[in-house]
Amino acid sequence: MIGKILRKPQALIGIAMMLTVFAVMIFAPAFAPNDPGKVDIMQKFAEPCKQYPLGTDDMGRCITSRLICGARVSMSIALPTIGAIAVISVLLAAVCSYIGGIVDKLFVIVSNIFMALPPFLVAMTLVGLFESKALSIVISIVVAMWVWNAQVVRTYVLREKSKPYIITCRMSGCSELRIILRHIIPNIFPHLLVLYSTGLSGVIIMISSYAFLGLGLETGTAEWGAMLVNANKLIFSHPELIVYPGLCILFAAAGFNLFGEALRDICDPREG
Amino acid sequence: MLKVNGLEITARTSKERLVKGISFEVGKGETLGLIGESGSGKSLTSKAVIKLLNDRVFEISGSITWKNEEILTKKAKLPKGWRGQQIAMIMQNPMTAFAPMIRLGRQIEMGFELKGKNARQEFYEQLEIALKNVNLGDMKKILGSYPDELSGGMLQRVMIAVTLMKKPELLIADECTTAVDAASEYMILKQLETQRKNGMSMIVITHDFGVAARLCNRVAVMKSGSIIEQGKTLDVFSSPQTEYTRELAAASVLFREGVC
Amino acid sequence: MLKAENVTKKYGQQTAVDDVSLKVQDNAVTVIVGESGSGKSTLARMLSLIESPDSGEIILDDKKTDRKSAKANRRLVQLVMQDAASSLDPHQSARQVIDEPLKLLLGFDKAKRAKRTDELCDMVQFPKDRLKNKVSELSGGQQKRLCIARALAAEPKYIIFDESFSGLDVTLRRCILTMLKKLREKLETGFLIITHDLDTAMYMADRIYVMRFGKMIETLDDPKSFLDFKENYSKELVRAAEYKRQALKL
Repeated sequence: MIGKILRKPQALIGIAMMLTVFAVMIFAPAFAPNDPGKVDIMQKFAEPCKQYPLGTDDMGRCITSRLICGARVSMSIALPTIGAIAVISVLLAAVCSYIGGIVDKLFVIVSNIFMALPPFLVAMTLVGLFESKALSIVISIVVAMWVWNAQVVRTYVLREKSKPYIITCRMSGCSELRIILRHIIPNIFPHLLVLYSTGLSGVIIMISSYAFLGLGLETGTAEWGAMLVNANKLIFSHPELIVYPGLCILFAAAGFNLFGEALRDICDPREG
Repeated sequence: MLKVNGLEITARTSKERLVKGISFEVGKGETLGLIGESGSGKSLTSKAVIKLLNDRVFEISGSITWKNEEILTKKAKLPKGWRGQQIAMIMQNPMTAFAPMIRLGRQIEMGFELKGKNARQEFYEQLEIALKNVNLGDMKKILGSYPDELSGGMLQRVMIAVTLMKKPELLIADECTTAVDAASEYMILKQLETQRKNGMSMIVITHDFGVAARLCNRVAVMKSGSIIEQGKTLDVFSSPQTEYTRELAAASVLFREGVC
Repeated sequence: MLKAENVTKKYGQQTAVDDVSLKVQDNAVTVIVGESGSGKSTLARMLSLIESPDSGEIILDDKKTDRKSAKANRRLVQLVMQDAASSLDPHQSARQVIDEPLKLLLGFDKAKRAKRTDELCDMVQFPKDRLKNKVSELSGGQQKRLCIARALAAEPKYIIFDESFSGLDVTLRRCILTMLKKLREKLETGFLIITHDLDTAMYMADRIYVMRFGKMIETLDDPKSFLDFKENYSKELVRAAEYKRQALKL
């Protein structure tokens, strides 16, 4: 498995991009040349120079530092979000498959109701619920997105459960619980990895679009989406300001997507 | 009629030699059996003969001549309808040989260029006889059905009837009775045997010595890309020279070791 | 004795198995011959207590089975399916596959399991150095042997082979059948072999049933040769084999 990943250039590029994002996130303060929040109105729209490698924005803040710290903000919201979604969806799918019958039917009905609501609408309604902006973003995205993931995982579980080897496992004396924990989940694990690594890129974009709609974090926070909004009004005079955060979002999302899709090709060459 | 000389087939990506320089000959009215199991290269060989191998996937070298004309080179000009009228092939799985969404009647008609009312009537008269020969009496019902409405054995018999209508000079039968039920196997064997008596040349690909004995005067036993033994069918069967042929012959007549 | 008595199973409108009775004897090989779609796989699933019949009874050692007892009896009837690759969990190693029934059904400890695994490998001629390999890394023959070893590990009274030998290369099929035949004589296990292949049937059988369109049409209690069949359909089945046999001058 690992050998196959290392032999696939698409996966390697994806991993490299992911690692870059993680490294930037962890070591953000060390990388950042300036304080991302420091306003210096005298220096606004500075050309790229030694002190400001990508120049400054309309408030004289260092763009490089803001981009680097933006990675930290984005990821620190995206990772817990996808983690919560993963736990909820796997748990629900496992319970549905274990108990089956009426519980499973109920799940389908409830999830169909949830799926009828557009995720963005749900998220926007919930985003103002909590004091902490970051927490409310996490919770609103989880509430909006869990159903989509849970449905997918449930399908994976059911598909795996209908394979002939499950009958063999029953013959070998496995209980239902053991079949789910020891046979089904290990076998769908690569699929889950794919689902959540591509899902992560979706969440990153979602967080940024929140900020873009003005629903996100406090104004002035160094975050890619917020930077994008800020640059929006300067699109004709300083188009580069909109390009930088855009590229960052693209980079992070593409990294996870590339890795996820390469992983899917490796796990299941017939699909996709 | 058909001469294969030093045929080599290599997979382009893995550089694996799948067929390792084999040579054989099929004369007019002769029938040759290629006997082997999965991975022996027998199907690849037959596909190379009828030019169905993708050049981009396989590298083919050696020579194949058909009526003293080299057909392996790119320059080789083959007349229209060469495949089918001169060399025809029957595949193992009849379910994949027909398009699933078109009624059999239309599908069969497409294979023949019919002009005018007379030609059509004549064609259907012939088709009825051909289908009767493989014990399919109700032509109307068969032509009106979709492929998945018939059993595998019936479809394979339709396939054979239609293929034989073009009166090919060489017929390649690739495991044509492996996927069908026992009752159909009998009818297919009988029909092919009649054709053999009428002087059709055949290459029969099989793993079953019984089939080979019915249809072939000579057999070549293939193992991992090479011909390891050649000779008259019954000679090879009753006094095999190699260990592998002995095993294969024993496996073909399992029942004899049992109670019979 | 494992018995089916007037068993019927329907899927929607279609009757897969129609009022079928049969006996699988201890210490003998029973064979069901039939074409694909004749309902023999459905019958196999019911006999191995995975599915329950719509009407009729499956009787295991003179006791009627139902949903509750099916679980308790599961060890006694083991099923070997057609496709070895898909009937084994691909992420398990060969050792884990054999370990599972030993641990869960028989409650062996680690040392005992290792010893028994060794014995089972010898019985089915599975190479021991391949035990650590993943199922997907094994060859077709090794996978088949592993499936048989797994079924034997449960120490069942009956093993049902549902088309387990079709699709194998003929030389390999012969290898495995000869091995099974020898094994059968040593063990106190009843085999039920379900197949469309007359060669396999005649080679292995102590008793043959012929099935068609979900019905049992003929029973051959003491098969001596192909020619003992009485029903037209059975004779038709035999015809191709006979025809080939004549050509080989046997």
